[in-house]
Amino acid sequence: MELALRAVVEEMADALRVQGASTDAGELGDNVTAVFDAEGALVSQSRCRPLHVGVLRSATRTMLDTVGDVSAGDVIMTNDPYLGGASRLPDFVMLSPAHSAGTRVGYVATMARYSDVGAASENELGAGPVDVYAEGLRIPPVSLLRGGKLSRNLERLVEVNVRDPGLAVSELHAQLGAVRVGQDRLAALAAEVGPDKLREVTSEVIARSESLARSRVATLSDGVASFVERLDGVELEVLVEIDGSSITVDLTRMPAQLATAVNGSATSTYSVALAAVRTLIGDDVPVDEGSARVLTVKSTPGSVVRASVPAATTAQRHLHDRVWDALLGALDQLVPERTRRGASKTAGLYQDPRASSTEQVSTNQGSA
Amino acid sequence: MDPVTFELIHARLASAADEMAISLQRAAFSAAAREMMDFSTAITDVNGRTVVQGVGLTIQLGLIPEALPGVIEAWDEPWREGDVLLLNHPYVCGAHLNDLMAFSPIIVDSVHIGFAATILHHLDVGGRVPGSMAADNRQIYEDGLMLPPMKIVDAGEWDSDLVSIFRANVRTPAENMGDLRAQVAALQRGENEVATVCATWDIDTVREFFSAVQEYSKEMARREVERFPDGEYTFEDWIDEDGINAEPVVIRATIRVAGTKLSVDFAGTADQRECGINSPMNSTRSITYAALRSAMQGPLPENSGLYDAIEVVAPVASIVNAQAPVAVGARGVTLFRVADTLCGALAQFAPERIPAAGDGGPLLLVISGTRPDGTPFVFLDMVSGGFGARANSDGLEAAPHLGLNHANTPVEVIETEFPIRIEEYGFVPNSEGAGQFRGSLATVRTYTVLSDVVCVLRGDRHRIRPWALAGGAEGSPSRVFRCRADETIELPTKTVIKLRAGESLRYVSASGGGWGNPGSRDPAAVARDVEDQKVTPERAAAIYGWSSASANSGASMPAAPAPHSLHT
Repeated sequence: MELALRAVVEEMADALRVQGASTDAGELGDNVTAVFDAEGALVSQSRCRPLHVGVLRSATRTMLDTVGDVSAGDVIMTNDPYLGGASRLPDFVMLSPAHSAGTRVGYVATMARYSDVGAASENELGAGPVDVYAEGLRIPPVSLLRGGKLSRNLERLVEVNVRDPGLAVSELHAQLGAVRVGQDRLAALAAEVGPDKLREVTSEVIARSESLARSRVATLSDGVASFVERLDGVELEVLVEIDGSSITVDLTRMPAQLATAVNGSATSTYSVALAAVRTLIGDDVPVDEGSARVLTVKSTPGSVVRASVPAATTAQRHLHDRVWDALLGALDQLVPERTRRGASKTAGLYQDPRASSTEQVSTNQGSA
Repeated sequence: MDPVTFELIHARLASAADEMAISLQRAAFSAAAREMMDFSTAITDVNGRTVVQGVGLTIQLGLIPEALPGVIEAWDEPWREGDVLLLNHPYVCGAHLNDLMAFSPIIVDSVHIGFAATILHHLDVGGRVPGSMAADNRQIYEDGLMLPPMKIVDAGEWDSDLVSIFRANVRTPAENMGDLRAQVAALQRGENEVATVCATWDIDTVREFFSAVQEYSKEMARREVERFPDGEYTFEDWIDEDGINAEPVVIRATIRVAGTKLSVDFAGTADQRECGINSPMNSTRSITYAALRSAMQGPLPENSGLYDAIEVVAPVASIVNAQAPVAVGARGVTLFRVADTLCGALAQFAPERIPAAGDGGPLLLVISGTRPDGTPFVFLDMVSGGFGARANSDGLEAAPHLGLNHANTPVEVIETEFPIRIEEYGFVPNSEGAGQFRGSLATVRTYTVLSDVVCVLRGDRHRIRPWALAGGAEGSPSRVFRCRADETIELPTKTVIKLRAGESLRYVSASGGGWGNPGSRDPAAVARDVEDQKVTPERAAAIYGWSSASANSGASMPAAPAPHSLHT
């Protein structure tokens, strides 16, 4: 059953890669897919880049909090880092419930990076935008499908606000296709074994991976460590505490959000913290609600790692490279024998026509 | 249709369009809509052709009948009572993104007889800069949120998803939503008024009137055209620069009159540019209709019939017929100059109707920042100079450009609603374009910001001055200054800058060009200007040959202050 659930998310990811026309979401694999249980707890997630590892768990929670109940046949879409819990505007998230015999048996979700969302410069990774309005089209959680019917309004709205409408619509439909595949497979699984059995299995999957993750953390010695990194002169201080089988990442000493585009959203920062912690607990521990429970992230709304409206977040990777380094620096003090260090950063150069300096853009190809 | 019925229905419907405008103004949230009245209203027939229009902006009014027919034709859903369609897509509607067009079907006794339509300038629609109108935006995607035609209200039911997207993409969601609801209220007002008119007469008569009034205007316009002397009249005017590149941008218009046929050709106008001053064709048509209408006499109802009598062509991908994806946020700059250019051509054959060039359009100023209580604000102001002189009178002072009918924002409103203090607002003595009839004086307004802000400026007529007629003098140029404690820095008229709390921005508009030889000016008019302190005795003597001895009141006059000498 656990393998069957994993097959659902990998098949969703394949659908996204095969159908998506964009190289970002397709060949470059800038995407992730997941299955949640009927209450919205993460059950299984596709292989993805480390920095996306916590995105769907965080975004799904925010979307369900915002929209409340999602009806059968509805697909919620968002790219809003504030109201929707997305990472940043180019990263579109879709969430939809799966039903079997009239009962909700779970949710499926996908995230895919779109190549363009309008905005102030041809390449939205410019350092120019200083608020979220300058970064392009922002979509709070809305129903792209309502009762199974595609909202022509929303599709056209995306179409007219991006520079390559054909590509964007293809990305939109690839994501919808992945959602559909996930719903069908999950519903089929529920129909095969019965919703009760499915619930039992998903609860056990979560429980097992929580206990595995906790047992890994428990082997580490308790302690607290802090580490300071700098981003263009701004001090970024992290505090990591290992206490028994739990880890707390405390980011409350971070400075206030900046008037540039490097701010992190709650979701993306959580994802970075989860990825860092997973270097300790091991890749063999499944990514799900259970293993995520070992980690608590504390941060302050309005800070650079948990920005509020109207902060710009498009270039947040620069922040997260430093936060990542700081987290590994702190973990290194606590568990010197276990952390992996040293990551190459720069994979490309981007010259913003408006910026006076050259902006370096990581595409996260660092080797651990 | 008998003339009495015609007139009665016309009066009722014309006031219906005005009542839409008044409802809109009363219900609007933003100071820009409430005070400056940057909006328009109209009632159209079932094909989207204008029947009557309310008081509004000339830039916007002609857009409605240009944009609506295409949108209606492409719309494949049935119209229901309580539907409202919303759009701002510049390459569909033809305005800039701030101008949201909302329209609704007018359905009386289950018969769909026409549409009520409104356009309102929204304070901010997202994009690269607050106010969404930077001249140095290159692509339309930088201007802000684009709305293709969509039903924002479906049979009385607001689309909550669209509302939440709209709110999330604008810097002033409360003002935008208040203004949008005011637009919808105005539409309902229009629908109700037309229903009342239909109840007084009957639907068929009212529909008959729709086409009758369009025919009437078309016929009247043709008669007007017939009175113009046949010929080709060409004029060129320039925009100082486009906000990115320094060289002037030429607007060239040729008006052709042949019998009852009137056409305008913009051949020779500059190509579109990677900047924000491009104008979509519909906006160009709209301002062209307004300029040519101004040369026609007498009562001539403005509707699609009038517009039918005027043919407008412009080279594709020129700055007056922009093609996607160039930005259009600052298109007003170009439209004002299009109007000036057309007036220059019209003055060649209708001199008694056409003034010399005025201020060349207002400074459009956006100041955005945070109030002391932490709430963000976007303040929009349009500061007008005035008109050029006419063949029989001086230029109107502090009057909006032909392309606009906007009012000024009162100082009290600005200081109450925004952390901005107005240090001065008035006329600049000695700034008029001299002539037998003089142009308007320049206007000056100085803003001190009480918090750190971003300012977006969109002005013109800084280098290329307002032209004169019949031997008058050119108007004075516009100027913008940034004033700090110990220094004053002159700014370009199209720019985006940050000001610190306590700094000031001082705008001096261009003034109106003169008409005729200043030496021929009526001494009594000169004396009046001296008495009003609009012109100093020294200048009156030097330019107009006036002497205080020749005026019995002059000797007792205190010397007029001349704090700002503008003529260089």
